[in-house]
Amino acid sequence: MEITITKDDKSLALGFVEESLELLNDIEERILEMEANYDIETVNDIFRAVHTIKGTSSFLSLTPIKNLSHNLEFLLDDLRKGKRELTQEIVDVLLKGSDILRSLILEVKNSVESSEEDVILNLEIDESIIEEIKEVREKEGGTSEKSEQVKVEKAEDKIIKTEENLDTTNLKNAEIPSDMFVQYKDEAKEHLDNIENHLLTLENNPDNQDSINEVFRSLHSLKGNSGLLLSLIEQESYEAKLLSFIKDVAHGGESLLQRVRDGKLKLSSEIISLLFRALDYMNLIFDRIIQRENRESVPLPDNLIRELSKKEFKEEKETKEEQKSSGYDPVAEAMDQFLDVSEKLLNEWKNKQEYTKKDIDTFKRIIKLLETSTMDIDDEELKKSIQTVKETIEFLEKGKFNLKDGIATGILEDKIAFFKKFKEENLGREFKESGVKKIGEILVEKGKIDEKDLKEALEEQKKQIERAEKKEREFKMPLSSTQIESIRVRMDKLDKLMNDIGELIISKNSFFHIYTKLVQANVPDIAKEFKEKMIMKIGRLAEDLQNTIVQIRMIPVKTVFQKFPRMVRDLALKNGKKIRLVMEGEDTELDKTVIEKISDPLVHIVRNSCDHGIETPEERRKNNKEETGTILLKAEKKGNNVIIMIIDDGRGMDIEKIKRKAVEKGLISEEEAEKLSKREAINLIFLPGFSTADKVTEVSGRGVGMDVVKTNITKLKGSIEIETEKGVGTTIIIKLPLTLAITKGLSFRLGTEYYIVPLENVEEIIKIKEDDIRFFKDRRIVNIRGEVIELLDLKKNYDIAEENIKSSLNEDNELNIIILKNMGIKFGLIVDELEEELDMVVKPLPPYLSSIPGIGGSTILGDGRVAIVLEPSEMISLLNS
Amino acid sequence: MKGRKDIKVLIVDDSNMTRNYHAYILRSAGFKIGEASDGYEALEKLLTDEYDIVLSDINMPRMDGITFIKTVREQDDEKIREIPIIIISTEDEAEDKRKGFEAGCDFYIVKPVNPEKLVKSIEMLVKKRGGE
Repeated sequence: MEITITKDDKSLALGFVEESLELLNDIEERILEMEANYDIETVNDIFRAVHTIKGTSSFLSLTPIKNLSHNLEFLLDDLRKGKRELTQEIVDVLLKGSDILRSLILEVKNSVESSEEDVILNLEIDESIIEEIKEVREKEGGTSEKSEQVKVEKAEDKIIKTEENLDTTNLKNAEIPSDMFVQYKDEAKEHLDNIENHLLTLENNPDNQDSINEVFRSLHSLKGNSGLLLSLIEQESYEAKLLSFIKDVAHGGESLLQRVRDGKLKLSSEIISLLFRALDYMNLIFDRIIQRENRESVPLPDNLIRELSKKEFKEEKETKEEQKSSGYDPVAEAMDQFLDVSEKLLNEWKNKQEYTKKDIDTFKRIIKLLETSTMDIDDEELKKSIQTVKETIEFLEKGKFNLKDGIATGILEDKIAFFKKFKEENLGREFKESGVKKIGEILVEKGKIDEKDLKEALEEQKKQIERAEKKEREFKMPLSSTQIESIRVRMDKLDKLMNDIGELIISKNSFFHIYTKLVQANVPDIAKEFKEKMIMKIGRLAEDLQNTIVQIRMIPVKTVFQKFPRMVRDLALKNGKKIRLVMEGEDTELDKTVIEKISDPLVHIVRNSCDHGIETPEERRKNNKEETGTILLKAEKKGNNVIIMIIDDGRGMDIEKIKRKAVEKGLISEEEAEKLSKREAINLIFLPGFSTADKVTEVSGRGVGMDVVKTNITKLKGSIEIETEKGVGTTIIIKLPLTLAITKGLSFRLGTEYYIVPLENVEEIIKIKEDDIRFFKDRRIVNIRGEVIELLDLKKNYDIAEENIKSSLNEDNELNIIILKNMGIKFGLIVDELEEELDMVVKPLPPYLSSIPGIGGSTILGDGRVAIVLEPSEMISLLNS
Repeated sequence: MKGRKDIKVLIVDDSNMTRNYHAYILRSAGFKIGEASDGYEALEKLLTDEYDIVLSDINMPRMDGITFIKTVREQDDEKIREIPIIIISTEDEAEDKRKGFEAGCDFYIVKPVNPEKLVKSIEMLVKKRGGE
């Protein structure tokens, strides 16, 4: 169905989207909570959240969203009223429903954000979910359907006293020409929705001519369309009856509105609620027409029609209301406010025997309110009394009266008593009871809820608002002096800013070179000034900037984590396993880009844990484990990195099986497999085309293997490590940089060239004697504190210079070695000279260079030289070549 | 008297939802709307743009409703200083109302807001101002 969102409504729509998505997260969480631990409060919470989405979506005429949430609301209502017990099926339907709601809302979001102009949305909803909800509700002897019927009857019984039911058994089925029927169905739905929307508008603003015309037009079309269809089918059929009901009610509503349009009637709240009733009735009948098999009895429209065409029906009441000015009266409200505040002040004065200048000002202000709000009321005594109060206060102010003798307070008390009486006699009751009804009253009238429920709901609503506001205050307290409101900023703008700041940091590096030059040039004064004014100040500013931009881009990992409870639950159900998911450190923050890109790898890993890691309950029992397996998802900040761990207590990985698989798939030879260490063997699963699953399950083993996970994480400049123990479990450790744009590196010289390795991969820097190097075939190996580490000589790999390894030796015949660690594998890098630790922004290399293994990019050093940034994960492949 | 379409209302509230709700009510009643998320922003809006009436929440970050109203009442520009201000708050105690009037508000409405109440109160206060 097509829905237009105008430019003006966009902020409203985006607000709706934002809020609804939050609510949906909450809903999902609570559904799972409810499943684990059934509690009526939780059901109520879900109900309220769904209700809010329904309400706000109808503001925006997002009918499919409204309809779906409306149906979910029915189901939840059954639950909270105890009509239905929570079953697995209900939970599934609720979750499915909330998923669909989410996708619909995201669709709204995307369309609204796609253009600055009015947008036309094409929201389609898969009707099967609504059918599913209905099915669930009709199960178990159809208690809910029955109660629904009772409800409808209750709604109508005010007007349909002599309820007759349409006997459906004798009616023949009539064939409605299908194309006509589809057309009718679509249009009728549109008109019914249109009526509802405009009636809602009219409720707030009964003078809105456009809305009156819209309702009129839709009623007219409904009447016409129903009549047309009616003429095509057998008159005695069930469908024909239903159609004629719609036609007659629409006709009744149309005639009633015609009288309004002619100015014979004023559109009062009573007429609006009557039109609502007519709308509800038509909706009911319409649903029956659509569900063609459902031959439930329906109430006859006769009394409703009678009510709609009632001649005397409004006029006299109308005039009465007009005299008293319809509806809510601000005069009574103003009087209330005057009384509240003046009594308060007066009590204080009597107790303290003194008043302040502020009190006088306050009093004057409320007198002014009283005076102006009662301007139109023609009552001598009222006017005189206001005058007296005014003078008394003026006298007090000028010191002509004091509080000690009690004269002033006496006068004021006297007058306050008069105002009270006046309010009760002239303002109070009528204004409270007449006038436009609150939505709750209308609901009561329509029989949707009874008065007790309404009161409870209002109480609850108030409490909820209080709770929410309290929460909000608590949340905002520590921040109160800083800026709190958020604004939307396009991500690319932030990226640009981040980049610029990165460049600034790099330029900062060059200051030191200039400083060194100044010192060498023997101008100590200038050097000192330069150091203080430039290096210190700008350096600090640049660092501040960097920290700030990093902060701006940070969002909590919760945004990724929160989808896991649902996913794990579904997977556990599907696989017949029992899995408990524990999450820790959800508030740990990461760069937004990192968060977005880490989501898929994490999903993959958690899926693997569910599918392959955790055993079936039987298997676990056999192995003396608790039936329920546990997956721990943990995030924590460590220095400039965030560590995400996925730990399961499942069966662990079978090293031998992995090796066998790799050989079978031809990834390695049998000989190679023999030689592999445990760690190297585990890392085989990161090879493209590897899958340990014997059977391909629905979610994992779809060809997107761990190799993709590794590639994605490497792209994020992160690393992944696996620790596993057969029968005990698997731990996957992902290490991610806090932010992508600026990283730390260690620069070194190799021949005449400069290179950088990411600092996060540097384990240690050591010096070894040349004699310590052992040769094993082509490989150089060194024993460092009992650990065998292979050395890599980049000069050989990159043909850097003709010089042999000896040139790297220093005076003591020692070699500089940087020990790097990636994916659990350590290796050493022979370098000529270590330079410095630095901040860098890595720029990608042109394609013809980036294909060289081991090279990740380039960056500019402080003195303007270009250095190659090495990529340790790729360097490992150089070891074996 | 000014028609609704000539009345420009400034809605001051830090909750998006509340602002949207009030804006929705008032817009469908035909008023013109401006929005601010705290007293500070509201003050800026009043100084740069012309409004006929202000609806203000009490609890807000940066500058709360009471401070905001007091500041408005101290402005040099009479048009700004005398603008009608309605407090919209969840607090229902007489003491809270007193504080509101003491700060200089003209009307006090308790949340949640009844649409008609809001519309009529605005009309009353704007009319009142026009009549003076």
